[in-house]
Amino acid sequence: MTNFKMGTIHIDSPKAEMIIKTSSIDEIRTMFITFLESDFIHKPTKNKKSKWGNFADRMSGLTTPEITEHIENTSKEMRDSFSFRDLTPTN
Amino acid sequence: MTTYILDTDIISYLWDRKSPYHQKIVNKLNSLNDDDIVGLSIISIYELTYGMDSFKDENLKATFQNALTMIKRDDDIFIYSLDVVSADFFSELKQLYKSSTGINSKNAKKNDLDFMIASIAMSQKATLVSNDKLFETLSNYTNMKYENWIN
Repeated sequence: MTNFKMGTIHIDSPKAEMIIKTSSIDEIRTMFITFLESDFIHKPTKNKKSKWGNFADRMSGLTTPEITEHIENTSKEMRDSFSFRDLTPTN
Repeated sequence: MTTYILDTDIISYLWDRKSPYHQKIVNKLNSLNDDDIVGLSIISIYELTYGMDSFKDENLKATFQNALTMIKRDDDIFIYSLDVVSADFFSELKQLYKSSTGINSKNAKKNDLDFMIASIAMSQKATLVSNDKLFETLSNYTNMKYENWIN
């Protein structure tokens, strides 16, 4: 058993304030222990990213709008003008 | 497990954070399962390499080269090449497209690179991800799987 002198805790939550005001000190102690023993505070605050989320992070921001526009133009150039060699004899 | 092949335009939106389509691509990638497979066709690598080499601005060219190197060397990304199986799909796609649209041989030549990309996707049983409406049309004629992640 450990005793803590908690001092004054300022609570900026009407709902939490209501619960504390309407609870006995034993109930508040139980709620406090339950909260500290729960997994809630041990869970990471940020969700772990997936494999493809990490890939998106690695790729994001590597280029600029000028490059995007250039890729659009050069892709169009390659796709629209692509043709196999004409093997018809010329003479 | 699903295999996705990202077309050149999708890669360019993913790279460019200021693209209006960037976040949609990121959101979709975030929603994929870890056992899904994501890759590019060798045709996109050709297009991007030519695009990079033809850039006049040296600073932007260096930025572009870095992006291209990053994706080519990424451990999670597959690069799919043309092979003997895709040759059959190429022929099937081209003939179906010509007969379905009534387009003549001269005009059909313009889409040969697109047919190659689509045939690579079909040979890998992959879903082709692109914003090019031609692939949507092709998917209507064939069993090619197609998605547009920016819609």
